[in-house]
Amino acid sequence: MSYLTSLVNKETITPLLKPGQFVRIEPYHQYGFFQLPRSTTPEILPPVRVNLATPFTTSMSAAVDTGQTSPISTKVTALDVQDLTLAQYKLVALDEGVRFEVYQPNTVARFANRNGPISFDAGTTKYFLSSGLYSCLPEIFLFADKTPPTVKAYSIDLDQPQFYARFAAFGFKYPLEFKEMPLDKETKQPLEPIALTVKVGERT
Amino acid sequence: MSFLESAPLTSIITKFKATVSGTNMLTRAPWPNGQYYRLRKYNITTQSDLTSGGAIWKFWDQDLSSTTTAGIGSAGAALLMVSPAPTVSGISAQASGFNVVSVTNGFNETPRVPFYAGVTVQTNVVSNITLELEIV
Repeated sequence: MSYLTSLVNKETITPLLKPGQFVRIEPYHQYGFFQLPRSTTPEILPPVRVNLATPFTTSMSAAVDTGQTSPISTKVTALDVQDLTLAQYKLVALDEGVRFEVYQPNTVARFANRNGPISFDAGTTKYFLSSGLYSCLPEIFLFADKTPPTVKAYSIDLDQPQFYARFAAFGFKYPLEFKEMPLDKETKQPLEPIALTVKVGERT
Repeated sequence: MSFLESAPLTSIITKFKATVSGTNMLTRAPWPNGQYYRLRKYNITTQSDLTSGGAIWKFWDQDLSSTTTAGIGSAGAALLMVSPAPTVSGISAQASGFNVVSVTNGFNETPRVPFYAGVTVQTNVVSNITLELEIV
């Protein structure tokens, strides 16, 4: 459930980067190498609730027999962080009867297999949260305000429209500075060890 | 009730319907999403005068809004029948003065009856029904 290519996706939620370490942010042609300066530290991002509906004004339509309803689709900027900052978020669905799909950017499904986008709901996320299986939660990375995810909320409730289609996001932010990474002349490999590689999606 | 006491990868939802009488569908199961309900708890309350006879609620699995679903059970073959108190012929256990009757069954007592299409109930008294269901 992670875009990490290093072996640091841990069960307990701890920062993935320590001061002084390097991170490679993909796509490389848009971002590149960054360092968490030794003078700064990762900071926790407490849970942010995001409601894709609006209480008492804009509801999410009830599901229909064909299983596909017109979802509420929202570019979520509530998770953006400061310039030159990387954010790591774990996602949890809060309201029952809703399933969420995450796109980053607009049309690229963040969680997908060959069959298409994989949605998450309260059943598949709250259980892992309650069990302390944080590594099983869907995870996204954001860079500053350049890569806001688009989240779609589908109702699975056939009875009535809902005014609450909420998920929560929590994790860490890492204030970074750009790093001109020296490369080995022959192998073209970075000469500094890369602690972490993350994918944040194309700029929008 | 902790989420640890629910089955893995399920969520819990509450459904409510007021002034239920005759045959009513309380909720449609989320079958288009490939999921169904299991009953966890229920609360039923009626203010009807029960002195002339007992109240009964018969639950079965049917989505009354859909003809494509196949339910299980019927009013005559209910999956779950609930009565507020024992009634014995000739003796009214639900005597005058007890015109408000409430039946509550908790997590430990309620059988995990599955409802694949929807929860439909037939009752002979006007009542309010609240269900706690597990989306499986």
